[in-house]
Amino acid sequence: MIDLDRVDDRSREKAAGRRRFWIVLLVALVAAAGIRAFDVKPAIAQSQTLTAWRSVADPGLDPDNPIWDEVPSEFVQLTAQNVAPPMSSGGTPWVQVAGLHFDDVLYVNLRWFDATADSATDAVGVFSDAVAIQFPAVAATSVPALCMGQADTAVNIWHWRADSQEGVALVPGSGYVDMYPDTDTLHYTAAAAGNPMVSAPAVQNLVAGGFGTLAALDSQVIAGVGSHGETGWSVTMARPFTPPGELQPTFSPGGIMDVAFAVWNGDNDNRNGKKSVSAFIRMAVDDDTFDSVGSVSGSTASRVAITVAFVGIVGVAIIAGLVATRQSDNNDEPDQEVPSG
Amino acid sequence: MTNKSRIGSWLEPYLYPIAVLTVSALLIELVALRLLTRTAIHIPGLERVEIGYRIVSEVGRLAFGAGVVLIVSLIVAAAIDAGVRDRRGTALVLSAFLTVATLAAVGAVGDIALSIATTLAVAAVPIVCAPRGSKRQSLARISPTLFAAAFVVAALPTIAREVVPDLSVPVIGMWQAAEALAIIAGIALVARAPGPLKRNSALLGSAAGILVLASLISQPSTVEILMLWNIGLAGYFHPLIYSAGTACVVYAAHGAWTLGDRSVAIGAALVVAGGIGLHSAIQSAAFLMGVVILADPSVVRTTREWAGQNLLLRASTSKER
Repeated sequence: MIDLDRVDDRSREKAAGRRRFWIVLLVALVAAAGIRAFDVKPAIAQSQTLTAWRSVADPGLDPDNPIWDEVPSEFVQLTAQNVAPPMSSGGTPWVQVAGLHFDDVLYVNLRWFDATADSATDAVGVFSDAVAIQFPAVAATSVPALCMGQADTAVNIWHWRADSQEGVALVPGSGYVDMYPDTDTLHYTAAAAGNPMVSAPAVQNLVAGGFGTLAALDSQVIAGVGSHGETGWSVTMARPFTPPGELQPTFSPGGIMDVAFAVWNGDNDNRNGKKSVSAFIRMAVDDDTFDSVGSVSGSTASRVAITVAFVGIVGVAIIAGLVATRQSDNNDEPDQEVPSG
Repeated sequence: MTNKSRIGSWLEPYLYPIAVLTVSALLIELVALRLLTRTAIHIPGLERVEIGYRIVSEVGRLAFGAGVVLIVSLIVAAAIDAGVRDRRGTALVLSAFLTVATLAAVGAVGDIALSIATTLAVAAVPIVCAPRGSKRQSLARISPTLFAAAFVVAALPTIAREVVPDLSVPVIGMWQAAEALAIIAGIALVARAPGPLKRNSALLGSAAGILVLASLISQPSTVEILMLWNIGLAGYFHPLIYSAGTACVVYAAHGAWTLGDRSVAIGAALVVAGGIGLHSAIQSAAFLMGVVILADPSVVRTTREWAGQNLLLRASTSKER
């Protein structure tokens, strides 16, 4: 015999369950619309943070300056860009990045392993090693990070190329290209057509708002030098805190912004979109100083002390919770079976 | 009826709908914002479908906002519910995270405090949240324990460098270890699939595994970069390993779901939406909540379970009368 009261109860519970879903959904949607309408940033980024310390001396552009061995650096994971053609494995698994600032100029040093220095693109199918730093055009952190940019969010890119640093060899060492005299540049078609890459600086200052929108800015103010050794490339790039124009972030002590990196290995046929890229991490411009002996003055001891105290307090609380839970488990009666159907 | 039990009985039936909607919102955000809009930006001729792109982007942003509200609500509700039910460990872990996250949001403590609190909270979950007892319960604890370990190992280099900037940390090795732990945790989730092998669940799990394997073999770089961006896995290992992990997670989640245990699917989905390691407070909250649910499935009971318990309660009350 069917228990009608029980059936009624179940129907009522089912209806109540549906009502609760709609209530929760409605409240969440109203709150989400409010968050979107007022552009509230409800999340805190917790990703890796590259700190650019204040330097007591000018680190300069020399990528082999020993100071870069001492400055705390971040290893940033890279993976291949294979969303837009040309694509395939970039082949560079990580890049080591460090930052300093001196006299309101930001210096970023990037190191990665690459057995070969590919700095002469003097033939078809030969590609250059390169590295790039990407900032949001307006200094900010975005959660979720905008990664490779979105249609409504431009990014500023500092792009160092080994071949641009080397300079384009106008006449091959082996002799004449053809019967034109070497004073005539007409047979250098790119130069004759005004291709800016012919005389591009070692570091190009670029802006992009998505695929196919990459363009050089009028102000080419990024300085940079790269050097290749047994452990691969070391490249230092620098720019004053205040940008020369729009679509470039302003740096300031205490400021935090997103930053991402890309590496091209010419020997691995990397060029254009065929590269290794990182996700966005954060870069903090810190007013603490980094001295030449490689320690962060004034802050390490206090950071460690605060952390130890914090871990201690939370640890004691967790142990107390563990003890309480064990007692509670011991007092618990065996679980009741939930009726089926 | 005491105030405590009144709050508990009012709140309890809302936990499941909040959890399901949280998972839905975070997965929509993952697919629409983190996956589609960031992939679409690279497609030449995007301007031809710009309206569609902007709609997807807005949907993703709205889902992100809803996900934020819902995950916070879920943690608050689960903490109160756990407190009411004397699951003090779960209540403590969730309350500690909420407190530090709130303090960080208003600027009372630094971001590093939140990172440490997040990592400690995740580390504490297998110790203080998981119920003890039978062999089955011990097996069920393996997966959340490994997920928590993966998160902690991935987070440690970030925290260590924040606290002691000149500290030398084997970062790459730790990331690889974290990735290995996360995959083993996914495989270990099979222990949560109840009863003998379920045919439909096995088919679904195999299909998911084959899809991941085929994607990783045919488009390794695309899938790897999306994995890194979205769930914190860089793809260090052979595609077969990721395929096995995916198959086991889907098998366990579907198998448990068909038998009425929604906790595996909800917990695993939150873990995936959160990702391994420290990314953002919201992703960390999702991961923490996911591991808590995997460790202590009683946090989210279905309406059916709740109704069943309610009926039992009513029956016993009427008998007493």
